[in-house]
Formats: sequence, C-alpha cells, structure tokens
Amino acid sequence: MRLPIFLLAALPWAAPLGAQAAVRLSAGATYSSALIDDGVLSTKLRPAIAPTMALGVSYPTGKGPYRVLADVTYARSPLDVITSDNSGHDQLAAVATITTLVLAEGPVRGALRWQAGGGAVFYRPTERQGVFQDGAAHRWVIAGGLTWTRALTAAMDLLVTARVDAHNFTTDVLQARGYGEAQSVQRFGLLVGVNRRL
Amino acid sequence: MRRLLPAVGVLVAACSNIASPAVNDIYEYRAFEFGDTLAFHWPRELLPVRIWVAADSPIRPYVVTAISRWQDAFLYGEFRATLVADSSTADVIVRNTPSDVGGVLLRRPILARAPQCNGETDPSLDPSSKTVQLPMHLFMYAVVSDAVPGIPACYSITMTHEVGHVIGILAHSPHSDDVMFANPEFDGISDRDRQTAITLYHRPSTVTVTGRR
Repeated sequence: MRLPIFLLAALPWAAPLGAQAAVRLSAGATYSSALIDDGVLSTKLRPAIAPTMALGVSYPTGKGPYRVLADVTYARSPLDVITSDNSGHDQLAAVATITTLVLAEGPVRGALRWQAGGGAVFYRPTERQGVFQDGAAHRWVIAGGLTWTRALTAAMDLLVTARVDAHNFTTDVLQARGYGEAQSVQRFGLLVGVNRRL
Repeated sequence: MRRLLPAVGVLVAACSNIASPAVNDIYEYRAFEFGDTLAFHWPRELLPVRIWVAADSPIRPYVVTAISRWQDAFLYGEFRATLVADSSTADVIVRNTPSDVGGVLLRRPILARAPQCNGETDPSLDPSSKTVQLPMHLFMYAVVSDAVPGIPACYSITMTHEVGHVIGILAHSPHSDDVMFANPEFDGISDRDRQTAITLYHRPSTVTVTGRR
C-alpha cells in the first residue's frame, strides 16, 4: 500500500492538470548486479536480466523546462547462483521487484533529458527461499537516467529511457546470521515506450 | 555536464560487498571407510531432491518440517527437496517402519535413538566405488505406540536428524545440543548443525550419485 503514497507525494509539486501532464508506458529489460557477493562461500546471487514494465506520470513544475515524474517499475526474473568453488551454478525461484520513484527531470540537449530522484524498491519473492526465506523486503533507492523522445503524433512521443539506480541490499535472515553491513546493488534499465500528453 | 552529475553520483554510490561471517563452528560430517574419506552432498543438477512418503503416513508432517528446516539452513539453495506422489520416481523413500535393509554388506544404516522412537537412514553408500545408489531409504518408527505422549516431539527431532543424514552429514555431532548428536534431544537445527551443512555443500563431494529414476 506504499505505492499510492509515492504517487501522491508527487502531486504537491505538480502544476494543475493541464495540457503538459503526461502518462508514460514503457517496456524493456533490467540488469542487476549481485544481491550478495559472499566472499567466504565464494557465491554470488544475482537476478537474471529481467523483463521490465514501467508506468509513469509527469507534470511540469512551472513554466520552465523541468518536470516531476512519479514512476512505478515492475521487473521479474529468477535468481542466478554463481559459484567459484565448483559447487555448480543454479537458478532459484523468481523474485519480482517493484520500484517506486519520484524523479526530477530537465533538459540536457535537444530531445535528451536527465532524470534524478529516489524512492524504494520492494522485493517480492515467488517462494520463501534462501535469502528471502522471511518473505518480502524493501530498501531505499536512488536513481538517475536519461530519456530521449521523438514525436510520433501531436499528442504522443516515442520514449527511450536509460536508467541506473543503486541501493543497499540485506534481509532479515542475512542480518540474523551475522552478515554485516549490506551489499551495494546497482541496476541498469533500458526501456522503450510512449509518452502521451494529456 | 553538471546536469549529469546526479546520474554519475548514482553510479559511484556505495560500491561495497556485504561482510560475510566466518563459517568455522563445525563438526566432522564425513564418513571414514577402509581408511578412505567419504564426503557427499547432492549436486545442484539433481535438485530438488525428490522425497516420497505415503500421503496417509503419520510421519509425513515431520518430513515436511525437516525438509523446511534443512532448506532454510542454506542461503543459496544448496539443498532443496520436494515431496513426490510416486515412490518409483523418488530419490529418497521414507517409511514409518523399522529398517528392512539390515545385513546388507556395506550398507550400514545410520541410527538415531530417542526414548519413544527410532530412526535409520540407509544412504546406500558404496565405499569401494564411492557411489550413492538411489534411492536412499529412511525409516522412522515408534518404539511403542504412536499414541504415547512424547511421540510427536520424538518424531520431530528424529526426522530432522535423519534428513540431516540424507543431505550428506554422514557422521554424528559430539555435541548434545545439536540435532545431529547420536541421541538427539534438540528439536531444530543449531548454528553448528547449520554451519556444518553449509561447509559440507561448499567443499568437494568425493561420492557420485547413480541410479536416479
């Protein structure tokens, strides 16, 4: 139920609904670095490249070129177990991630725009297993990226988004078993979709 | 370029690995036969291990609990098991009867004895060929009646102990507070049991598995 909170958080920054508000729908793929890089057991746990869908709503912040974007991204992929101690490679049950972000957006050059912001990533395992044996987990995340648009019609643009985000990963079971600090995780997403002005 | 700084900041933010704890509080988990060392764990390509126990067996809930306990000992899915409906496709067959493999040369059952019930696991391990011939057999039965008080606790402890042998712990812990103690009293998996199992799965197996159906 935290999802609407992030969407609502964007509203005070937004101009009144008008011609500049836009809805974005994109699909693509996300690569993630390892959720765990266990130096003692020579094992990495890394999500496979995940099919990804994103839905966003953007509003201008005023008369300038800046906008605020509330964005929800869903990705789902199995977890790859990668070992270097000859105990074999394996694939564990899928984990879905729901990433909710509030991003500021501004111009770089021409049709290229930057994005930067933050939010939260929610891990939803399909099975209670391994590092997710206690179930779901969530972490704060910071994100940035670039978008490129090209007009398709008077009200619709082709939208290409390249995004990177970072968060520190840990779970209750990892902490209970003495894993210190957290694993820094970076994710890279490439999405293609449409931007529909309202 | 200054407008790109936030994205660059994301890229370089916090590039540290998690700090893994040491895994060193363990007991001997290998078997020694004829001067040779035997270490066994299930290879990942055979996971999940297929376990059969009769659907109406009174020990079935304890099998489910024991599987869950040992699976949760691991963080990277090193051991996983599932119940199957047909014993002819099973890697491990569990029965609520005394062992029927006694007297077979080199197939000594590994026993656990608690006051109300007994457990035996026959890992079907042949030291000469260094092979495990599937299916393994696991037996657990009440010494007296299933209705005697204390049987549920005895079944819970003993089944967890026997599944510990199934995952590859071929010896007994010398510590009475481990479930892999020869006469176990601890109902669960201790930190030492867990670390021993993790160690077992991250060191080479000297035994190969044959006969999967």
